[in-house]
Amino acid sequence: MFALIIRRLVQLPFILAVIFVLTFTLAWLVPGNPLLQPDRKPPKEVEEAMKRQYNLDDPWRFAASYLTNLAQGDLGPSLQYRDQTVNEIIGRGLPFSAAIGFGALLIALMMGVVAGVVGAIRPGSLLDLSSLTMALVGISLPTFVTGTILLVLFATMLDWVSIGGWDWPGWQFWTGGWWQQAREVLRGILPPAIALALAPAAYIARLVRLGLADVMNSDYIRTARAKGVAPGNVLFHHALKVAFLPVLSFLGPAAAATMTGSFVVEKIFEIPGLGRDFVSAVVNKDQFLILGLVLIYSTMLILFNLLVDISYAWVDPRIDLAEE
Amino acid sequence: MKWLAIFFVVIIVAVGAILLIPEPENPDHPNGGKSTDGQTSNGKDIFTYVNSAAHRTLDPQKASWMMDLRVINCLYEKLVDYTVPDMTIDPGVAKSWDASEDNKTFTFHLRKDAKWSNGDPVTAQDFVYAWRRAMLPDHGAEYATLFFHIKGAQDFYNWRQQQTNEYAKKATSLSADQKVQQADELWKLTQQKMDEMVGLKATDDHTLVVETVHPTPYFVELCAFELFVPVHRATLEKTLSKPNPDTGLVQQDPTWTRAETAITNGPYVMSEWKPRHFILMKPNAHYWNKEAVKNGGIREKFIEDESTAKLAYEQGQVDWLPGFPTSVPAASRMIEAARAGERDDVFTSSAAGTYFYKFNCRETLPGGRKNPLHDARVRRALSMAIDRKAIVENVTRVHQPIAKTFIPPGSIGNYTPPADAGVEFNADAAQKLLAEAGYPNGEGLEGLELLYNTGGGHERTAQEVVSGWKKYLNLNVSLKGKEVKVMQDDMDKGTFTIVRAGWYGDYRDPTTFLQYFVTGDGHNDGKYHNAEYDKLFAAAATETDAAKRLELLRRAEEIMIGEQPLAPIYHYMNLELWRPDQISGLKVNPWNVWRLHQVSVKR
Repeated sequence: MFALIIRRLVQLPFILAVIFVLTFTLAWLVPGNPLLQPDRKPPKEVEEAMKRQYNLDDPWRFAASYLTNLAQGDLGPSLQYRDQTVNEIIGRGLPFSAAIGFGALLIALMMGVVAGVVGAIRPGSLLDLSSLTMALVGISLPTFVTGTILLVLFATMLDWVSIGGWDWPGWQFWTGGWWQQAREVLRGILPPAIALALAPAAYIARLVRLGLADVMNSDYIRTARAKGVAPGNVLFHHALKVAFLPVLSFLGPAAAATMTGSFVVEKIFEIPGLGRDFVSAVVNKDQFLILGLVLIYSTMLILFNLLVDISYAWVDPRIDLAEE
Repeated sequence: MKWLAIFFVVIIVAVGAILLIPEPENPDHPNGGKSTDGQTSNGKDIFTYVNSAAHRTLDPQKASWMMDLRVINCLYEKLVDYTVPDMTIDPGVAKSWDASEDNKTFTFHLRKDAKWSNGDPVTAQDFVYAWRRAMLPDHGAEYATLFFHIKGAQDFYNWRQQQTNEYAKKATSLSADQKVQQADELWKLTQQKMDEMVGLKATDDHTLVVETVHPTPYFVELCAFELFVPVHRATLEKTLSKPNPDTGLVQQDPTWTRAETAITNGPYVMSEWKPRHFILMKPNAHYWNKEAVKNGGIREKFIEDESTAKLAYEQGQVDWLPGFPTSVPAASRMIEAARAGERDDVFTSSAAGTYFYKFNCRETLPGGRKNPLHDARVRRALSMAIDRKAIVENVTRVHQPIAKTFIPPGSIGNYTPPADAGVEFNADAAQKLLAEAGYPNGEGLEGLELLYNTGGGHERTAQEVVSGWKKYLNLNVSLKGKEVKVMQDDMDKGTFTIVRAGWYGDYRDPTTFLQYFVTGDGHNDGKYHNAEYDKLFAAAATETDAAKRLELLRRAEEIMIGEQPLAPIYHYMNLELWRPDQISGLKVNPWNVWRLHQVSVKR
């Protein structure tokens, strides 16, 4: 186990280096000047000067200075939001996105596992059919539909969040006891988290249902039942543990994806998270921001996959990843 | 697995408890909507508005985007300012000014009571320092060209650019110590050159003398542009880097604009700036004209999605929705409701900008093919076959003013654009003209493509125009939508035939528009060329008589519009929402000049 962790951590910089080279090349090949407004074109000498202050006139000088700064943990300035550094943008957006993403994962797990188990215990029953339908709806409905419905529900009907973004604690006009603070945070997180959770929840439900259906028919479950283990115990202790493995491997990438933010959900709920930056960085060809975000995302993806592998070994001790 | 179930049950119970068990509501609850900021320093209400795009930069000399300039306008005070809506010039930091007879030397007399937000006096040197920043290529100011009106500015810009270029090449062969030393020397020389070359001087603390290259009767008005604000020298000097040993360039720490460091001389100070969230500006206690500030502060809320913004406005969370996009269906519904007299909170005005299709005027197209659009008759015919009325009434449905000229009529004081030279929708005349050019009934005219950028509703207008060309001229023009940066790339390379474009004027003089079609200008990527046009434009630059100058420019536009290097479609329209019973002091105008300190709020 320990060897596995060490090996993965040693691999990390090499994987990141490959990702960096690919992203750097692609970002450089995108046409356009990130510093200019559409329809506007200053004279040649001005455009040249604008590019030069960020080394955008020379890919080699850009790469050299970028890597020098990266070694000191500095991801550079943003070309789009020029008064901010990429470190600041990520430092500001990631906590919002991660909190909502984490909430979404918990909700997805709860909803998915419950729906999956219900479906697997009574396949073909009304409950199973309805949970399958829910799953289908969850996967098919785009987040801009579910997000908007949730916004109307939570903002106009329940008055939980204010339209156009709620005010996170820590802003000056925020006062109140910890109970109320906790409530504010939860009210802010829940609606977007639910919107984000629906699709993975549906996916998890299907994974659990399929896995359980398979496991429930296997010999060792029959043996467990034959020796008189209580049905609930069979399900939770013996079957679910195995059926849960595919869910675990899905959780790694899903965690990285949800915790780095969603463009649509963040736009609807006006959350100052990272999701929108991913899209706007590419549209605006903000090379520093593209590189910074891709590096952060890749690091998170690799780390979450490592976590999944560790928990794999823990759930099923027969799996020895160190010997792969 | 059991632990997982227990974990979930605990979470559900905890979340449920926190959400559902009531606790006495706090009166300062942030979701209360209205004044969430508590007591203001002058006891007046805070004015709130929506900003739909995240700020690029609030560095006054580097800014160029409208939403940035709007905030800069609140934080800093210029030498002079526009009054709205009649666009006359009001004194600002300058209490008076004189222009020489030839309109080439301008002397500004600064008021002595103007102060920075830390109490320091605002001096002429602060202006010199600020304007020089824009002229220094190291800072890469997009609007540097506005300062090229000043004598020597462009020469200095090019000189520094060339020097640093050479330095960067040379630096690769220098040792580390040599680099530091030589970069420093170059920077010292640069400052000395700046003094020698540029016609911008502070003769004493309160007198600023500016010399311009050409007679510039509009120079005082130009000083009302946001880029001409002063900056607090000590702060800027503190956040300026030493010259980079590899490139020779100096760099400003971009975070100096934050609430913690920025020192301003306008009606407001930056109190809090949470990027992507909000900006809070509070009245500047050291502002000389405090009495003129009619509200308790300004809160800018960032809401990117226009339907969310509209909802926030309708719920009373914000007072003003500036520049609502006219391309969304909600806009036409609002305008129609206002026209029917059902709403009194919808305000529209013609903007100083034009939406148009630009023709490629080169003789040959890439690949050596002969370009039919090189012939002005073909361009006129195409332009004549555009039913603009149908577009603004049925396609955009916001009734923008139909454009016949490039410069919107009424946007520039004494200037009357040559509307007679423009074209009107006339299918018969268009057919005849096309036949004259050698394409009877559109035969032989092939390979035309209308290029537009996706998003922003350009597609529907383009479809309407193209189907009109088919209907009236029997032409098959294909449609091509591209991502805006990709489209820009095509324009740079000249690989287009017809392309969607738009232009907003920067300052109130015809040159801000007419420069666009001068031979060699960067915007003129259709390569329109007319020697007479260039000559008139150049003659206007040296003409000292203001009226004669405008006449020269009018004739230039007349020639250009007659040849239609562009097919003007409509002039842009501004759409604003505010509740007139609560908000007073907002005045629509073509130039989007907003003096937000004059806005009062009554809830």
